[in-house]
Amino acid sequence: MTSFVWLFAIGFGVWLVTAGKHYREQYTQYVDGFRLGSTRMVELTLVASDQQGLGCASDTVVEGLHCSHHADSREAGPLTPVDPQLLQPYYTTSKELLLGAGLWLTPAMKPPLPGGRFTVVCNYHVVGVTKAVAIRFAPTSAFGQVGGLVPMGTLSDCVFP
Amino acid sequence: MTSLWKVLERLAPRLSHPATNALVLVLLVSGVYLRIQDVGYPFHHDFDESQYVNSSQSFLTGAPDPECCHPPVGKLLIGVGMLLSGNNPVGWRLMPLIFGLQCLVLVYLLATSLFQDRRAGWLAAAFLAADGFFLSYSRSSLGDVIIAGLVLWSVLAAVTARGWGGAIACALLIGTVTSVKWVGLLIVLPATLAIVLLKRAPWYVIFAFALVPVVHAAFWLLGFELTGKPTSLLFVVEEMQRRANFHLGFQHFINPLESAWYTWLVMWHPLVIKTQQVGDTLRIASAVGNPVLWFAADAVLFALPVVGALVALTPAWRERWFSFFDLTATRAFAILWGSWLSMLLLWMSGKISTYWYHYLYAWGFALVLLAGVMARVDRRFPKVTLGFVVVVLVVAAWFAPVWAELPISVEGAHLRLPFRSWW
Repeated sequence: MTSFVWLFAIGFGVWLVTAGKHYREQYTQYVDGFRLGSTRMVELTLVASDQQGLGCASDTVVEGLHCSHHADSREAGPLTPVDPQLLQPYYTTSKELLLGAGLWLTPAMKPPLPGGRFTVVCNYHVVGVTKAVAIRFAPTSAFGQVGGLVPMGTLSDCVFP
Repeated sequence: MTSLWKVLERLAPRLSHPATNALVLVLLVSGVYLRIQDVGYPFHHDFDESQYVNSSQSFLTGAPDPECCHPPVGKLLIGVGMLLSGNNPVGWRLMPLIFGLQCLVLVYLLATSLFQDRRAGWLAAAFLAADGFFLSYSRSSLGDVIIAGLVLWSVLAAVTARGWGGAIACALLIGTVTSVKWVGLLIVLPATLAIVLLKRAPWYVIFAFALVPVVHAAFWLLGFELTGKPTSLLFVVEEMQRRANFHLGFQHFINPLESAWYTWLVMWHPLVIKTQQVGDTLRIASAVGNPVLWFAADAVLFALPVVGALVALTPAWRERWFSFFDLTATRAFAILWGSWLSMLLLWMSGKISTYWYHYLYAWGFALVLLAGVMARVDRRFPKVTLGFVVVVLVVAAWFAPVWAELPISVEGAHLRLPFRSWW
């Protein structure tokens, strides 16, 4: 009986390590869909009020791209909605989360914007990735921590599909 | 084939009335079915599931743990389910389901071992199978049924310990449950009581419990290793302090879901942990218990200390007691009552915000206690036990749709959960 328990424990331990490594590789590849330095076309889902509503909190700064708040929720500095290096969280239509800067400065995003929910297609240039970021979707909401890796980059050349 | 049949025959329920045996099996089979069926529904996180699932995903992918308050083991265990079945609704709920099913076996083993009577074991398993509190938490990606299972494991290890090996196993289990939520540490009290009172192992094996903090620290370090944090004991202490302060900093009774520990005894504010409405049909998981078991267990829990005091003080009561219960049952009652009380001590302190699900950790012991009493009743009054099991079954059948997310009309759900505080 004891030897059976030991055999099971060892087998389970080996499986756990192997499966854990495989799982990590699988999900890292998923985030790697946004490869560092690459540019990918993304379709973002938005509403007009997202310019003011979307925010992130993180201490990670890559090539000047930064969130509006530090990880402890303190403001990172005076907020200007036209800051080209201010990151905001967006979801693609395939439900991928990314942090992007510069969206609202692209010519396509000049008012008037469509009412209700709309999508916009942009080039997303990945400059970094962060493991530690919290996001919110309304200026008065609390930040919610995000699990997993989130790419950081710039958005440009946006068009309405 | 013949030998398998013999084994099954030997293990089969042996209650005094044949109909009780059949009903116990019906309760068990239907309880297992209700736990397993459509466990992947709904296809999104409900209640606090997102906290656990997101954390588990972080441990698996190496990102920081986004959960605020608890040690890593509950989240790691849910992650094992996600390794087995993927990052999908079945994967999220697989480990709680496995622990929920384990609890059926654990209460059988615990009751059988404590009362030296398999009929107590069968009744305990049947009662737990017919209880909505355990059922609903077995189907949700939350840490609570994992804790309930691990505290049962811990006491079972203490009860069956025959020497250092058993005591060390018990210490490892206590260290593990403490690493799901710190409240698990309190199980060291009844585990010590069991070893000392039962004398199946020498009393000094309780020193094995010195391993508990070592196991706890090891799990923290494993969590840090997986999420890329510093793997130092100093950082463990800092993280524990940070999380402890977080707990102590909560303002009490501003969350409408909170409930004081003493209200749990009257089922004042059970939580609905999943709700989906499609047209006029609801699919909900209410954590309300089986009221028959609930109030019967309450009666036993309150009667025991009173009768115990009378037995200790008056020879007439002592004689009456021992004409019904032997010394084995008396010790079993003491250990189970102590286990139930120990798992309430933190909530009684008033330092921590308290919620309905905190009672789950104590509730398993209350059910085993009730089963022990009913097993004794069965020896003398088989029809009383049969009647009780019939009522338990009927009530379980009535509540099953709102425990196990079976489609039900809005009116039907409100009929079963008639009080405002039950929503």
